[in-house]
Amino acid sequence: MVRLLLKYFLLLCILIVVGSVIGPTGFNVDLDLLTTIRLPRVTTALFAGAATAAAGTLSQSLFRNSLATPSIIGTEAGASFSLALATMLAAQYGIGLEVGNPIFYTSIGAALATMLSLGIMRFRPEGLGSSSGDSMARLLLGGFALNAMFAAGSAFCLSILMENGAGMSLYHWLMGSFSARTWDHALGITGAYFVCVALAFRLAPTLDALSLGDEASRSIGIDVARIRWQVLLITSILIGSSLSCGGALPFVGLIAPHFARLLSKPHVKILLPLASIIGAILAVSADLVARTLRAPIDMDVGLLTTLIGAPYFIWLLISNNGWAGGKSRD
Amino acid sequence: MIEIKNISIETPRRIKILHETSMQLANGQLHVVIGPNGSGKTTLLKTMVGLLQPTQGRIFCDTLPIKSLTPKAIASHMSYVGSEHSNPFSYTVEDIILWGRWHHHQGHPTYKDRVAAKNAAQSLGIEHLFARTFNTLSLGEQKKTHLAKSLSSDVQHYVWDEPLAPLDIRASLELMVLARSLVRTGRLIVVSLHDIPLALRYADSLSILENGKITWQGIPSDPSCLLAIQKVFGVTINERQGSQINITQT
Repeated sequence: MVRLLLKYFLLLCILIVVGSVIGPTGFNVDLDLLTTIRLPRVTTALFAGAATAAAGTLSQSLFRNSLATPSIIGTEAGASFSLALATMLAAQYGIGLEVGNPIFYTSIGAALATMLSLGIMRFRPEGLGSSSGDSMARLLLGGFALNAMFAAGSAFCLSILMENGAGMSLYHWLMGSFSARTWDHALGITGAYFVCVALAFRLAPTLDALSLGDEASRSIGIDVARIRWQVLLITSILIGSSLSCGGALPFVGLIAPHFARLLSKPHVKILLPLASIIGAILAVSADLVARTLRAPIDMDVGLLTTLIGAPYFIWLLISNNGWAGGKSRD
Repeated sequence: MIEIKNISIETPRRIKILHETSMQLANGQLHVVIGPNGSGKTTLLKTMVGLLQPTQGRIFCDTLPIKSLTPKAIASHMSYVGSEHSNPFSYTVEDIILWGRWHHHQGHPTYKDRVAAKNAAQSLGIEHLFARTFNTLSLGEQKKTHLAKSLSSDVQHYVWDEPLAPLDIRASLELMVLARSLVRTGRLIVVSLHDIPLALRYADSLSILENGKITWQGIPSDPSCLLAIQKVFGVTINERQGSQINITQT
């Protein structure tokens, strides 16, 4: 396990170096450029990817479902919508705060969306008896509806802003981009990541035991409701902070934890660092491609991860690894 | 001791699942709950261990009111095994058995916990599955894993919902013998069963549920027991030569 982690960590280190020295005009090692533009950008991408992947790992455990990642269950879309709404209200009507610290809005949006999703998945008309069975369909259909709803809401806010010619920055933000990141962004997301993951580490054994299901984990002595709130809070801050500094990274939250689960034991204390490293690799390399492929134009990194991620997601569905979390994976 | 005082349970749509049920179960016995499908056995057992809140009435475990106990406190008194054991991720049998001792180790098992898990697996004959991934096992093996998880908890009260359902006949008999040996050490085991001959043979006491009510409670050798079973299930029981029991449609 340690060797596996080291292997991927080494890959990440190489990527960081490569990402730092390659610019729009090819190789370019200018110390000033490096410290003021590239390093903050690479650091932001790295920890945004890691945070999204960690959040994905946590929400998989929270929902007891390997498909229940922030982009599927609507957490990211909710966070995006929340910021779009706040931006629109501030620009149009002067209501609320200026978007000085978007993490506040994105975290609240992420938390509300996750709660909605949990509510939809767990709601049972009779209130008694056991769930399962159709919970998968509920999760995906509920997530689909929430994603569509929040996307429509974001598009609505965006269209209002566009009419006044003020929507471009929000548009790029919604698509996900690490361009023009400063050390403020980089340090903010780094701090949020380490605090959240440290908290999540303390919950790791409990998250493992939650896989037993609500009733069984309650009957071995776990306060399921309390743990659920704590994990929800941590996940929302992770998603909120990664979105607020880099925009949406859909599919990083899905692929990285999935990949980690394919590679290692299912224990959260191993998955968290492994998925984080894989998420960071994905985000840093997607960002590298985004700013070099059509240089000097910056592509939106979220678009790139979706272009890679969506086919992978379809492959997961077809190969039956996603459904019920892979019955015989060892 | 588990004591249930006058509990009723309703669904949000006011369908009554249990009606004013009371029972008092002393330690050192194997108590079997039988009843037709949908009579409320699972609901009764879940309520007993605090997984469902009764609409009315109270439950005590060793004179402690269940309602005021934390999940951890309940787990240190009672161990419950339900009927569903799906696990979405690839945890091993050892992981799952160790979770039965959560109230001892809170996720950080010690050597002592590992020994207890090993012993529990041995008593159910699944020590060879220890390193296997739980969700690759058969239903019967999964059930044994969860029963081992329950046994490893080392508590005074065990509540198992239809533990024999996926087990083969030999495993069923072995489990009943194991239950009897636990009972001799002063523990209380409450199980729901569908196998009436086994229930009659191994139970110290028996209660019969019908439409959310306990219609009969007593010891299996009581002559009125067979009559009550015949009435509730609508079957005919011919008892031949002592322990031989033959059940036919009425």
